Amino acid sequence: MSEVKGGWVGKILRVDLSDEKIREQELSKELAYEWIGGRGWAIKILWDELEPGTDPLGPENKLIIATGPLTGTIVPNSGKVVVAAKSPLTGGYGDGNIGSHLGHMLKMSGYDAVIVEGRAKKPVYLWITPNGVEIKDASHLWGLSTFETEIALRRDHGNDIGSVVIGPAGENLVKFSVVITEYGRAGGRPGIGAVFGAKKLKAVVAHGWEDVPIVDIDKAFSLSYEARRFLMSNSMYRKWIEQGTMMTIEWSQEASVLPTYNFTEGVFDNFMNIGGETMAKEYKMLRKGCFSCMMPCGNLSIARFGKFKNTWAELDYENVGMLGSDIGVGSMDEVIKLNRIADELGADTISLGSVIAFAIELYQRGIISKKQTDGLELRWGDVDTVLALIDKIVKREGFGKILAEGVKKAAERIGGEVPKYAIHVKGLEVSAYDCHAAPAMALSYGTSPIGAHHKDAWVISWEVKYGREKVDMTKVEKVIEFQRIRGGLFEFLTVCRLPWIELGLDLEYYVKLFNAITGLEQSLDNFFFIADKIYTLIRSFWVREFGGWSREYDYPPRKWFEIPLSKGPLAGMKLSKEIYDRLLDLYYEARGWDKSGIPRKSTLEKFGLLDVAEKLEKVGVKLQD
Amino acid sequence: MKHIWVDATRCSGCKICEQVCAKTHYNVQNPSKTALKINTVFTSEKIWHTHTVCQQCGPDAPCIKSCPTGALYWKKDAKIPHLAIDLNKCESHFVCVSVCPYNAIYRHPALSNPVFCDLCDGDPQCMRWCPMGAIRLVE
Ligand code: SF4
Ligand code: SF4
Ligand code: SF4
Repeated sequence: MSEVKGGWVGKILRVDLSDEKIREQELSKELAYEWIGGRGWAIKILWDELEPGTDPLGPENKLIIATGPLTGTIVPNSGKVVVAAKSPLTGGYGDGNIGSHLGHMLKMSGYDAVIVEGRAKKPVYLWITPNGVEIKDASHLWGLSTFETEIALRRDHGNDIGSVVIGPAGENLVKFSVVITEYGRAGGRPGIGAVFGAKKLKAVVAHGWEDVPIVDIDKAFSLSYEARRFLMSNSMYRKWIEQGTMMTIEWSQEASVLPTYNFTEGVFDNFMNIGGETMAKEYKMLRKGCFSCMMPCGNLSIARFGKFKNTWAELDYENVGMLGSDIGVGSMDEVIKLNRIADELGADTISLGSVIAFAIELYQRGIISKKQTDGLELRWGDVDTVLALIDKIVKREGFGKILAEGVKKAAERIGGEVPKYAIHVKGLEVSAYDCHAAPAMALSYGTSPIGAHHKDAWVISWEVKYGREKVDMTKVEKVIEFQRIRGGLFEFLTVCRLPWIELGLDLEYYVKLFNAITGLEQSLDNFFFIADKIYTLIRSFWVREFGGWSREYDYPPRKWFEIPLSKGPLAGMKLSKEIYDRLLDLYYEARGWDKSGIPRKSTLEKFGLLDVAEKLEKVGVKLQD
Repeated sequence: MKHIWVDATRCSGCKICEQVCAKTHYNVQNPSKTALKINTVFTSEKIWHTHTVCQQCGPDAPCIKSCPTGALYWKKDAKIPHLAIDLNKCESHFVCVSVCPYNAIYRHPALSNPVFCDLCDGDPQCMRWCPMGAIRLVE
């Protein structure tokens, strides 16, 4: 029996699809107390168990689905799980967190996490309940869209289940395919869907009914009620539940960071049409929240005009930016359609938008022609051609096959100056904030541990207020602070960061809740130490995979340095390489990494990771003291 | 009779009500032990939050009438009259579960008595907690 008392349920499920072995292992005290959960477990397990150079799409890669000690409880917005693996898109550490009802169902089935190994001979899915775990045949589901799959699973197992599933994109190993839950929530941008697909794993489904142990349940509920009162008394609360992240469209336009025409501009003429106000007034049909969510951001919206009338999809800022302004689409009805298609296919909306924008830009600049695009005439905002292109990408046909590798590889393949138009960091496409004039946000994309994603250090709104032009230690400290909180704390407790970032819920709540639920005594400082340790281990993972490191890997897209914005209030602005380098130096120093971004030996020692140092040296990495 | 009702246009499907209901009655973190069940149902055309909860049929409720031991009864002297159970009398026959026309009284795999809404003896906790203000008492 595991020694943990509350929050964690004490068991990890390990499934080997190659030999169909299902094993349970006890959740060790070390894993629970020192790595907490979610992302902490994912990196610890992947570091310990993967051989360097593992093929991300081979049977040796491991898939981690992890909850945290607060997941699936009364704690506000606690319906998250982390999905992770070595990324087929970037070749480094990859993870995503996804809001769903899977977390509490897993815990109520008796498991804190699931590790999937090997590769099935034919399509399968996992069916997890307190009565046992089954590897079930998924032949009838293979080829179905994520929506059809979830309907079929509910027909067989009832409606009260938690699930993550892949669509045709994951099956066809599109490098930026995701997992989808509950009709339109996605997670695992660095190609976690393709790792599912490579393992022939269509879905993970759980239905549980056991109590989740909580050490001081009265305290957990009363603290959560207090938090609830605090959140609901915020004057922004109403607007939040009406618009969720969609209100960011208007904000981004004003701040000139709304990605437009493949990050050529930061403003978009038709932004109103795809903005939060328009959505709330004319398109939103239903609220949808994750488990325990107090501020549901799931904007279920339905198209009202034109040929996509009555199509519905869940809208968020990022996917509207990337499948809207960034590809020049300025109609909400069309944005809804594109989002719906991406979600059905299980392709990441951000990366999909980015590869499409990249292709259109190349075509518009005359770098590629109809010959390369299989006859498609690529134009900004032309939804029909975009749909045709998406079809090709997901089927990996012709030109689509090149784009299915993501912008970095596609650009290398086409060659010449083309990499200049590929908007990514480490191979992961940039999410929806233009950083031509936002060095701190550029730094946070540059140093995000999975490649360019906003979930770690979303400092953009802070930076705009603080002063874009400033270059100082405060900016670096802010990036690190946000990485600790968003990329650390919230990722290992595995709960949603929005109550804190959007409505100002005090972080001490999470400490108090953690202590009440687990019966342990943790402090915020301790949590931050663990967060920094996790960052250092993730960086070590990348270094091990790449056989060293170069600071260029931590650079933002070339376009931000080389091609200035040509429109809007910030026209003429571009990022200065010299300034970026200065920030990066400060960042490395603050993290205890050397000038090329490799953790120093003393840093590894500080975090109790001397075994990591040893392993790095064994593969030929030179560590500085 | 007054009973719990959920406005589907406000509900978000967060299941906070389910957790609070289970906590109030069993002092556990376990939404499956709830009397109010929220389900997000989906077809290719439509998505909707549905709810299932006791309709408080009154003294002549089918469940009360069906109970062979007389464990289920109508508590009329509560702040709001409601269905109630005498646990000393319940022998786990679960006939009530099969006769309820609304499928609103349930058998939980780990409990020996049926789960149903007793309006928290007149002080509905789910209503107090629902962040969307979706839960109401209606006639
Ligand atoms: S607490 Fe309210 S919003 Fe949440 S599921 Fe229950 S009724 Fe719906
Ligand atoms: S349990 Fe069913 S039959 Fe009994 S009072 Fe409630 S709704 Fe009526
Ligand atoms: S009123 Fe009380 S018993 Fe009835 S559903 Fe709500 S919390 Fe449960």
